[in-house]
Amino acid sequence: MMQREYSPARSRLILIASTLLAAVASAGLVASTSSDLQNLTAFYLSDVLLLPGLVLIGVLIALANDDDVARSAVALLVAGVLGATIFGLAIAAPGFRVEGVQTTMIDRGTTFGLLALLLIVLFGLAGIVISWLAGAFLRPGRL
Amino acid sequence: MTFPRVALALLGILALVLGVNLVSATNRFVTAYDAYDAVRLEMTEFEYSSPEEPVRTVVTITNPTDITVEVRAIELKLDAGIRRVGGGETRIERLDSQDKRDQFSLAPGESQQFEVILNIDDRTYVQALGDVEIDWEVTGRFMVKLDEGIDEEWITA
Repeated sequence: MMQREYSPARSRLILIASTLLAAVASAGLVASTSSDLQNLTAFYLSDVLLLPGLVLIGVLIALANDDDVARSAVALLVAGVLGATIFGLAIAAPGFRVEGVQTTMIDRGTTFGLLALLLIVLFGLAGIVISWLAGAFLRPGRL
Repeated sequence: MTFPRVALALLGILALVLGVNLVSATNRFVTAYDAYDAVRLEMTEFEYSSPEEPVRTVVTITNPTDITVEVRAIELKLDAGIRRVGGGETRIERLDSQDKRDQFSLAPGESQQFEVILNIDDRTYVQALGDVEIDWEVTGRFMVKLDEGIDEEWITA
């Protein structure tokens, strides 16, 4: 398959777009499978989809950035921090409204946010590696 | 369409669907905790006759929220001065009739009274207080369920 070279500005735009979309998708995926929020979601997602879903997001980040490992890794790290922050804020949200649970929920949001960061980055990285290896087999000239 | 575009489009679809999930879940989560904070329990009657007899209390639970609140249990502790001397509880699963169970479901803006009988366990202490005026203190908590998707929550009264 022919690879099209994008201009630096376009590549940067794709990097930013993939980072933001991956951040929202990761935060939504972790929230949809978390014990606190799972039963409150609009669409039910099983717990078992969490890790394959995060790997898929990693694969999509790599593909969106044309299998450039360095750009993909940067996109994944930023998406991980953003996604974990969004998820942590979602868990902590009642704490900002109800004084009685302020400490509990903000503490819970911080803890689960950090856990989400690890999950998003580690399994997203696995996705990037899978995409990179698949690309190496399917398009040897790109290795 | 190239790989990057397809991948970006798929990421967009995932972000949209999962983002909707995130927003709706967070919204319901915050609404539930708002309701927990708003529901109130007040003691309206307290009848003590003697150390040998149980204490009859009536509590009123008010639901000022705009969602239906189901009360699952009420637990009260009874202190005489600084000493805990007894307590009692009422639970929805122990009620024998459906009519009584229906009373445990509070519609938006509704108040409901619940009778809770408190047993005095430490009768010797209460008897030893004699004829002096006893400084009774009742504390407790009640369990409510707001949403099928959220576990029951104990609210301290």
